[in-house]
Amino acid sequence: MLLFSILLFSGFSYNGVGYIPMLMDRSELEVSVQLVGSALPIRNPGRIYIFQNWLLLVEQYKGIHLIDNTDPANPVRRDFLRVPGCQSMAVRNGVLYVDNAVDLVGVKIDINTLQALEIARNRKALPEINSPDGYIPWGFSRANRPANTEIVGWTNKTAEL
Amino acid sequence: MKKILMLLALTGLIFSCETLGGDSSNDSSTGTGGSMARFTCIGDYLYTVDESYLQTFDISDSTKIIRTSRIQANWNNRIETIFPVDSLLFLGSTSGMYIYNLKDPATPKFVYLYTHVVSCDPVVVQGKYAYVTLRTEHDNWSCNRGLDQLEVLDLSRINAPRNVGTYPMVNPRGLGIDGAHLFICDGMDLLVMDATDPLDLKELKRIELDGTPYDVIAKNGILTLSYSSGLKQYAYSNDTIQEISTIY
Repeated sequence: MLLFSILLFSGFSYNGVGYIPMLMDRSELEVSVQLVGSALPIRNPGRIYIFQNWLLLVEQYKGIHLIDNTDPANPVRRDFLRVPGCQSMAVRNGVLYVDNAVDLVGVKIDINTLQALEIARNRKALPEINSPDGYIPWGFSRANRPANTEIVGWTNKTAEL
Repeated sequence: MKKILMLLALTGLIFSCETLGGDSSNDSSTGTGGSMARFTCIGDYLYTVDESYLQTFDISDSTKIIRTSRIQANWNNRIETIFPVDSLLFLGSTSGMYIYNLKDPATPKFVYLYTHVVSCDPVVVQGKYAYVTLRTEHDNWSCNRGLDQLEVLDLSRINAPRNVGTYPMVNPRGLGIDGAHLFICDGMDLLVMDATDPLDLKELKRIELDGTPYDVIAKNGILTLSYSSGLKQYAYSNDTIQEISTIY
């Protein structure tokens, strides 16, 4: 969280419950896709993708666990690719395509030596991440939040309080 | 191998109804997504689905991601999932299952929309059958009016899929099929069904989990399952299924 320097702010709610967005400056978003260099615990797992002997597991809004699954009875979390706003992924020719919030990013990945390098980015190719309620509250629309910020996830307001 | 044969079988079926071009589904440079997938790579293209669009990106040059098409579903649709089978894309949406063909891989072409009650629904396909789960989400305005059930659709005529089975579920999400094994994330359980006869599915086992299951991939006798507490794997064969690992 600190590394992402995510801005959390409240000030809008309906009926006292709901979600507030995690925001990131665009300049930070565009350099945010990085290997952490160590494995992280699985907290909010999402979609799964099998690539060769590896399992890729989305950590909702945070990135992708790189799991060595050579022995399915003993899978090993090897590293974590940080991708703020991540929900989906697919691989082609050694390039991992992933959603970095509204941007679609290509990451050249050598999974066996655990190297990753962003090589392509299509900005604002994807819609903004809706809150788990299925929409973006008016108070957090582009016009009503700090300029040049992107929504990289949502957090339950009641849980924060 | 079995899967490839299944795909070939389906290809035959589809060719009998529609002439499709392109053959890119067995590209070994890509991987396998689960039924909840929103991205899939086929040949030189990346296909994505999001709230209301099916988008196509040319990724033949790995340093570029170039949009070649952006197709909007009906205003009240939310596209949830994408499942590629040979030269077809099956999209699960809040109002039904879309089928697009990839005769022109840069611009998918609409083939059919199988409509049903408003629900959130992933879809998987094997042989000439599609398996669709319909889920109610009480906290989500766009799919809180549906049913919780599994539907089996006969795709013999790709322009006119036909319901050949409906099974009540608790609250189904991802699903996966591999030969005679159909796996469904249902409520807090992993439901295993015998799909030997797609017209008469039988419940084999309901495995209670210590969390809510989300996505599954069934491949080569190994079931990989993501659930709210972590990642589990099971080995399955014939009528046995055994948990082999869990990581958190």
